[in-house]
Amino acid sequence: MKKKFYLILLVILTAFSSYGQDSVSTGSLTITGYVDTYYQYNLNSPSDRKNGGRIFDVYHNNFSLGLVQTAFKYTYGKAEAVLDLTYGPNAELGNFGNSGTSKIIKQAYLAYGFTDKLKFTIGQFGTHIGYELIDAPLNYNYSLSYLFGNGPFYHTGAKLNYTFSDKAGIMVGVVNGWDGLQDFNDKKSLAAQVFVSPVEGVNLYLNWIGGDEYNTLSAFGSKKGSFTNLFDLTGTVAASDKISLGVNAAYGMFSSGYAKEITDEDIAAADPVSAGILEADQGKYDKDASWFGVAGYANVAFNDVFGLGLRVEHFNDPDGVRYFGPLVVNALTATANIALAEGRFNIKPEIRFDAADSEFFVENEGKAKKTQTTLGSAFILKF
Amino acid sequence: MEKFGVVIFFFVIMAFTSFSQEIPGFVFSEVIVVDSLDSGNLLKTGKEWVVENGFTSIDTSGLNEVKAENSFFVYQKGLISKQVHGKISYTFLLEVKNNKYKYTFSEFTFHYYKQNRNYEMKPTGKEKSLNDPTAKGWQKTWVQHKYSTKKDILLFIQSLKESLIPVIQPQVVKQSTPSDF
Repeated sequence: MKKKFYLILLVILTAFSSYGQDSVSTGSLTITGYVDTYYQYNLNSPSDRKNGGRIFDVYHNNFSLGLVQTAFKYTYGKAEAVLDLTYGPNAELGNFGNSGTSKIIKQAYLAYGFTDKLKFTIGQFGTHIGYELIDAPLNYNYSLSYLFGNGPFYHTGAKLNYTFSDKAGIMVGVVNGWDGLQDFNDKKSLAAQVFVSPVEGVNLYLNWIGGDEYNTLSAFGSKKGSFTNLFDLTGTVAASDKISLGVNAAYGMFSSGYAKEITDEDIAAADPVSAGILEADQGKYDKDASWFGVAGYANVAFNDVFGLGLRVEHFNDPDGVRYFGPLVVNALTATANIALAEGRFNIKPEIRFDAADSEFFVENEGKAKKTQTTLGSAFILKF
Repeated sequence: MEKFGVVIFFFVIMAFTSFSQEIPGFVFSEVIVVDSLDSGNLLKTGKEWVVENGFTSIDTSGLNEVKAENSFFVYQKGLISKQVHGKISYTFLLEVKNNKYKYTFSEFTFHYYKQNRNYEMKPTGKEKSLNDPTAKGWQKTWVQHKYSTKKDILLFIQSLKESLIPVIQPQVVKQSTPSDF
């Protein structure tokens, strides 16, 4: 009985000490955001007026609004709340797994630092996978890579970050799945990240997400018992004050959960519900498959006003596990970066050349073509 | 020939005048005379001062000096709230002798920061010396950073001087007795 009393006392004291520590901290609110717009001209003049293989910069010969963001970050002691709201066409594309008023939520999460090294986060947060981000001001190139477009954008779940030092850290988490506020199935995915900075200026992230993501919007088939693994390596190197290099490589594996490829006979022999599922998965998702991609980045800042960035990418999804169907493609993107108004207003003229191994792109009169070249410029204002 | 000599003289004078008008490096240094404090006391108080004020990389291996480093964030005004724009680091050197000391705040360097995917501001690895008079494309912010730095350092200097003021011990007045007379 006495032991129990001491235990309760200890718990109460601990709770009050934590409260006391928090109460001396000063809360702070930061509000940031940006507006981005762009114009692009596709030399193929596609009849559907859309650029092939693009995620956000989809419109040909159109002055387009990209995205408007307002991000609120409130910190109180060890607690933190982030509300990242986005509006406009790219917000709808980026937050595509949300619905109703949740469609404007790009991120909404709470975090608490139990210690200086251990941080707990819960809510909807941007993915740990990949080099590029939805936020245009944080990317060098305006047009986004195939790796970005075919990876997850965000997750809803909980994660723990542990920072060993400035040079190493890990993250583990459990999430509902890919790109959704609600869980689309009764399975969860696990997420992990290892960060190392072996020398100053070099940052490497090894990322992973794995789970059964059947019946989601992320094109992984309808069969419960499937499994998707995605490994991702992201690296940045500050080669000098003026030159920075980057790399992103990803390898995804999809296990369908079917013992063999689905045939017409299998569909005919199944009950109506199962037949529907089999039919949906036939051909595309009835067999194991993999996809991968690699991208290299080189940016040169001639000064704080003008810089040039080059991205070279190869993306390989021969079985069409991801969004664009079977696609093997190379892309070369050159972007200039002009920073005006104390670095708040960015103009990004850009040229991009895509070459697929099949007639993936569309030109005028609806003809298919293996290549696509786009010219354009983005205009971004940060506040 | 005489005219030529005058022109040369004029140019030489101009060159020297221009040189003397150049803004010296972004350095704060001064020799302070403090009566009745020996070097040992000054060094001890100086060491305590750098620790109390959160300096890092404190090096006290020198015979009559304390070296240390410090840094602080600088901000850029946002539309609604200010945002971290970078960090300024600098070195501090305190040299002591009997009854005087010299402080030097120097090597002021701006470290570029960039927001990462977790809304954390992280260093990009790029640096810029505060001796650089211009920042192409963000001159107003650069001048503001120099102003903030000067303001912070002047507060540190004031604090340092207050710490190194000799403590005047109250003189013990010996009680006189009739026999002393």
